[in-house]
Amino acid sequence: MGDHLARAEDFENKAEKKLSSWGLFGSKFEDAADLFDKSANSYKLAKSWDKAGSTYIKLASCHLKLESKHEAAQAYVDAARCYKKTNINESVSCLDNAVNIFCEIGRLSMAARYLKEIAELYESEQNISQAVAYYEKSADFFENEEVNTSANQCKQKVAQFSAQLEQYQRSIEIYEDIARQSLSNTLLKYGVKGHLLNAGICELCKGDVIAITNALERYQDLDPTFSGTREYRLLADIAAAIDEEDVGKFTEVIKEFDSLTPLDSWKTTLLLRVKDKLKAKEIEEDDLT
Amino acid sequence: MFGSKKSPLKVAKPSSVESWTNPFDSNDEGMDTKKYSSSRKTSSERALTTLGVNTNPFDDGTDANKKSSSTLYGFQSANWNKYKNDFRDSGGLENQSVQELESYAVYKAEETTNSVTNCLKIAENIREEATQTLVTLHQQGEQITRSHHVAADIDHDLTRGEKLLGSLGGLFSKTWKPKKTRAITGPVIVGDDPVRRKGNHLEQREKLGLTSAPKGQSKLRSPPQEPTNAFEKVEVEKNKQDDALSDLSDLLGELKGMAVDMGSEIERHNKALNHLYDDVDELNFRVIGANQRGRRLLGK
Repeated sequence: MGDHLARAEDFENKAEKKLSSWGLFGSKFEDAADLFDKSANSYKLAKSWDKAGSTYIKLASCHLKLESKHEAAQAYVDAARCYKKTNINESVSCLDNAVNIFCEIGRLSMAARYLKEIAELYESEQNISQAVAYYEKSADFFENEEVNTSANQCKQKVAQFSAQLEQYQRSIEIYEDIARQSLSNTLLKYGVKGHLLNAGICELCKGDVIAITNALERYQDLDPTFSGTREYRLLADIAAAIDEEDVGKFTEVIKEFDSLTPLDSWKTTLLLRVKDKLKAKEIEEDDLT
Repeated sequence: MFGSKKSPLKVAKPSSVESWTNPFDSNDEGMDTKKYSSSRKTSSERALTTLGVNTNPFDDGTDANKKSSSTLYGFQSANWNKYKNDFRDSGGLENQSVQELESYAVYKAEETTNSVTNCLKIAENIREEATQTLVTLHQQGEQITRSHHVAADIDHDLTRGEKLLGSLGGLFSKTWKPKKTRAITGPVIVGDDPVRRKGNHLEQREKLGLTSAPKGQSKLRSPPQEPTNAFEKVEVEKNKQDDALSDLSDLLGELKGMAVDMGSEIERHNKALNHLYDDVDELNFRVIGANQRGRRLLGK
């Protein structure tokens, strides 16, 4: 380990010397870049992630001086990978630089990929609002490049987090849009009822029974087979329970559905919100009487 | 239907508090089953009920302490062993009282319902996984197409490079022509069955009356009255089984469709990969030629 560290520092010092020395413009930066690359690799072997990251940033600036933008962007990505282990903010900053360079040179699919990576980093840090912003950007880029599956994955993340942040209408629009797209595809049509269920749960969270009924009719028009599914029955039964203000029925309906298809944490969270609203309504009614 | 099983499955009994941590208290049987199985709780279950331990976020504990209205057909765990080995230890089926046989019939019916429900649960899980697999296959198909587009782009760039290499060289040197064995085709779009691709296909089927009519609510969800005797209870269980088997049938039909779609998509991928392989092979051949030309020029 110490051996790697010593070698890394040695390479770095040599690179710095190269940069400060006089010489032919091009070759000076080329030699320095080569030495910085070796130094960064040695730092990685020594598990000195911060130093490796900062060395990759120096390498990126050398590549930029040489007008090798693709290599510079790749160096920023390598820096981000190193910083990921110690400093998330630095990692995001490096990926941002990489994205900007990829956009400059027209590599939009690469830019989209790294925007998604930034979003994932923010998600891991529980910074939901930033994660949503970057997932949205990523989806936009993927759509431009016609990478529809990846675009939809990012959109689903946006919808998921929007619902958590109580922006239900936004979630509904995204899920319905994905369902509409999926219907025309032989492979994706089987996932439609899942998307419509998610949209329906968001409708339930809004608490407007008429809107829920209208939504169910809309989903039926969208996919005629939906009305025969357990997902449709779940939504219809919950809507009825809300209309009747019957918490017991609400619980039974969900239990029955869950006994066959266990609800994930996202659905559980949203349905609990619906239940809490329903309980509050019930208590309010009792107080009035 | 309920009498067709020879060796019934053992009913798992919760042995500790851990088995109660399911947030949805997913009892496979409906409300009715709870009523006449309440008396066969293990001691740990009874203790939990008494303590009011309830970890289901949707459960208000309203029906936690419901007792059966008629305990006549309730099962004690002592009777279970008799039922499990078809009364072999107590003189066989012929020597049982009518009441005992009625209880046995209800037990068997209940158990069959459980088995069918478990089958349905497994089929649902398979369906979830299959849906994910199809999404992944679609993504893979897109990636193959994109890779092929990139190969076509490389072809354009390589053609430019070959022109430049051809124009290099001495004044009297022989002009270099790159060797090409075949043209780069780029991605070949293999279309799906056009009928299945149409968005309004489902609507057309609906109008023709081909899609299954929307199922109404399960009859059992709000039964008209409590089953009072064994015959009624068996009928209730049979209805549950019919519902579950109907759902299972639909699910298996859908799984078949999914499997067919997976097969045809993988076939498409194979064809696309064959085309891609041919193009990449040709590109490789031309890159080798361009490298040789470059080396020759440098050697002069």
